[in-house]
Amino acid sequence: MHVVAWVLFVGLCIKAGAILVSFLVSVFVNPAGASNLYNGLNLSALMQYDTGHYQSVVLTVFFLTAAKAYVFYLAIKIFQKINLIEPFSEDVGKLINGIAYTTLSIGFLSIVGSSYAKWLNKRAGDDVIQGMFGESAEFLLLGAVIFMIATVFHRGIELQKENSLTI
Amino acid sequence: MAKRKMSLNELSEKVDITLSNLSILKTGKAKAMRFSTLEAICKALNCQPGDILEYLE
Repeated sequence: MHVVAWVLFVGLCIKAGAILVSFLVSVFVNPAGASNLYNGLNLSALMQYDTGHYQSVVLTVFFLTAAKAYVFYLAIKIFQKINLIEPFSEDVGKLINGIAYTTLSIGFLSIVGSSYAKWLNKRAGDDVIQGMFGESAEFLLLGAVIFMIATVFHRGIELQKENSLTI
Repeated sequence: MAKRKMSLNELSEKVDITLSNLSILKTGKAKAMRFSTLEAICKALNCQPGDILEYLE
């Protein structure tokens, strides 16, 4: 799992970096860069329609990808810090909380992005934008589940503390 | 312990509890105490639980 988390983290970092670099190139150097932002993502129609909307859509996608990478960074930290003899530590509890809040934020940002894309689709007529924010409900559900796990984990920390003070 | 002239080290060896745990007991930081620990301490000090436990408000 540790290796999988590392692979996903590096992959998402590369994706976020590629989107950011292509975006900066398309805005400041060559507007033709919008035709292939990342892995064939073509937003040239949106850029021609309105540069402001183009910038906000790409930045939302960038922040979503960066937040997903951050979730896997926290997962890697958990794998590094977890001690199976006394698993319920404050550090791991904070990291699980961090994952829960970040995943919920990703869910909310995806919903906002998705609604924005629908609104833009009606005006700009670009179908590509709508498919970019697909997993909003899944992330909200995942965030809620992780939040419940974090709550149970905090109870575990209290019980472990009590247990270590029972002599 | 003072009446029995027993040091913390000696008691820890007799009841098989670490010095840090005995210190937690002595300072009142412990949240709970196992019956087996209470029994071992009473046996080592030759006393009753009431002699080593006290209720304070």
